[in-house]
Amino acid sequence: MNASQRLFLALLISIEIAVTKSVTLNLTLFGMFFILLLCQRIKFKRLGFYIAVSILPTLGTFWSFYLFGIGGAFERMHTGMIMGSRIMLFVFVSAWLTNSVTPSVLLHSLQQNLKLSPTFIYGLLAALNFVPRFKDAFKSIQASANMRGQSLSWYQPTIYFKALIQAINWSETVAMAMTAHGFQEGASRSSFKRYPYKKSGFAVIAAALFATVVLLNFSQY
Amino acid sequence: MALTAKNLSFSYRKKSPIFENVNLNIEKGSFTLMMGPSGCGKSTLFKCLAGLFPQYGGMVSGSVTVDGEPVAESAANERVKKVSMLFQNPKEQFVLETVEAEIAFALENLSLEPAEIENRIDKALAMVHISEFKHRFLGQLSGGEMQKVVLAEVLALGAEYLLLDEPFAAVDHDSRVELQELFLELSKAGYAVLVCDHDDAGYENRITDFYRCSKGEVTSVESDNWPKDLGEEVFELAAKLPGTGLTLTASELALENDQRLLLFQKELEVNKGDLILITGENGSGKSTFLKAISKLQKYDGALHFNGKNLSDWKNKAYYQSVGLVFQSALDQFLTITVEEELAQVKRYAKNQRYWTEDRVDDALERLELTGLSKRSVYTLSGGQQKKLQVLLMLMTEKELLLFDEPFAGLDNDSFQKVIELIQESRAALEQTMLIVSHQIRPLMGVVNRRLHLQNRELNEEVHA
Repeated sequence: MNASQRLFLALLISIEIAVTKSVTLNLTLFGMFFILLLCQRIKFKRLGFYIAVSILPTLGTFWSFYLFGIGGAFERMHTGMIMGSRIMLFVFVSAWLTNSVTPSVLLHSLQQNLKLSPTFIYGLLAALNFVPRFKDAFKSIQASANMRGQSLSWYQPTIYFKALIQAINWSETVAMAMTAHGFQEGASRSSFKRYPYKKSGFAVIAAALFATVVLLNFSQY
Repeated sequence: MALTAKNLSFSYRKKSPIFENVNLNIEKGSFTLMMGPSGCGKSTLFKCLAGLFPQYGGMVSGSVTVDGEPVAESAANERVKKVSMLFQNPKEQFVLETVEAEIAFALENLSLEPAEIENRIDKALAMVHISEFKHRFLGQLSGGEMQKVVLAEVLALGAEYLLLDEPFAAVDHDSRVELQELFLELSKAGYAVLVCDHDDAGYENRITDFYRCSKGEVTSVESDNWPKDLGEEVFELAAKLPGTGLTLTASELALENDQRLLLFQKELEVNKGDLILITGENGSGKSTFLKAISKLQKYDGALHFNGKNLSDWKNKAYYQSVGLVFQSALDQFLTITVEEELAQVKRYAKNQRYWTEDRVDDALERLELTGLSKRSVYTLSGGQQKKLQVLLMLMTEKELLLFDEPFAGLDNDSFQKVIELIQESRAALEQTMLIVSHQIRPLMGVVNRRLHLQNRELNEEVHA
């Protein structure tokens, strides 16, 4: 599966679980994506982070629907479990996607597969690459202010204003540098690395969707 | 077959022109040097020659043609096959994360096939002798290393007219000589090389044309007045200021960057009143060392300031005594205009002993910064930003002041004036200063110690 196909699978599964009401399906998919994450050999600390992030909204949602939902205890329990497991599943499907592809590969893949505008894609890439620079700039501004006798804390607007000015300034120079290196809006470009669709990828997507439909038909709860 | 400017003028809206009626003819096979004071409009001129202006603002009159075709009218992906530019600040010219991806981005703009892209990347990196950088992250490279990557990118594009805007501002001596030799080779191979620089060292017997840029005019210089070889000089040290005790000590200090060990310093002592020049190759860890002293970089081992471990110092108290002049001037500014920057320091600096209002005005005049008070710091030239940045940090009257390439982008005259201000401030306030610089010659007889970073260690250079 290439990066775009992984995104399509994640989106299709997310849409499917958002419109169906099967605890069995949600838990089966959760188990599957949990195993897939383990197969990606992610660190236990990271896995713990995903669980920590999802556990509170999962339990909160479950309790809300169980305590304040409509119908008898069994129905409320069912609705609570569907809603709670959806949240856990959304987090783990996203975790599987973000751990299997880098933002840069995903954006290049989408650009090639869906013929998106390179200006849009490079705009996003430049913004993504600015994130670490923004963090550095934030640190430098704080240090520079300290050295000039002014304490700037994270909650003070001055620090964001200054970082924003740097970002605007940087975006102008980057646009100029892109032009200086031959980037022309609307012109055709080649691709150094190619990310073609894979037949096996579509087969996996079809098989996964078919399996979920079968499971939906046979599951009771 | 040439890059030609005819009666070229440039101005920002309703303002006096940055330069007027410039006539230039850069032929293939030439190696041209352009020199001029900071803020005379060299960078703007280069951007006009590269076809970036008026696309990115300003008003241009006159014409720029390359091989007879108007530069500004051709599409960027066609233009770069003929003329390409290397910017002054290497940090500001990258879109992607790694060296390979960045150069590939430029070559994709030419619609080249992957095999050809791969081939050109390898060739260009080999030409600049940085083949091992191919998979490195750009954010982890030093300023000089970044500049080499951009040069490789420009060469990979295959442009025949190379416009290099201060390519050596952050490049060490050996790389400078190596790159100058490479430019000569390129010009002999039929490329046209136009380079702007503040230091004329190393151009003697290499250049074929020489221009001076001053007060908005560009004039050709007769060969009798071209840079001359001053020969190798013995680096002389100045006498130490009277002062006692230690300011800074390092023991078992280890610095890493990108999982590479940059420095392991068993022991280092900096005395009160020392003015130390730190030299070393690009990427050897000089800036990282200054950042560690400024508490902006993790390290192993121990650093003590005034006898107290750095980790025991509270940031607020520490930064009252220690300051860093950042490599990039823009990182230092906190407000918008020159006037606001000066007012900020005056407002927050406590009990200024030396930098009185009169001394600040005098310094502004000497640095040719008067009349710029309402200007945004972002629209100043690279040299003007640097001069303002150094002045602001001197005004904070720190006990220990660290300078990371404070002379980058300064013309000779400005360089001398900045050194004078540094010396005057140090003498009056008995400050300790550490200066990282690639420009060594003008600091001869100014610094009282020189440390050279080589083989991951700072070694004392003792001169007769």
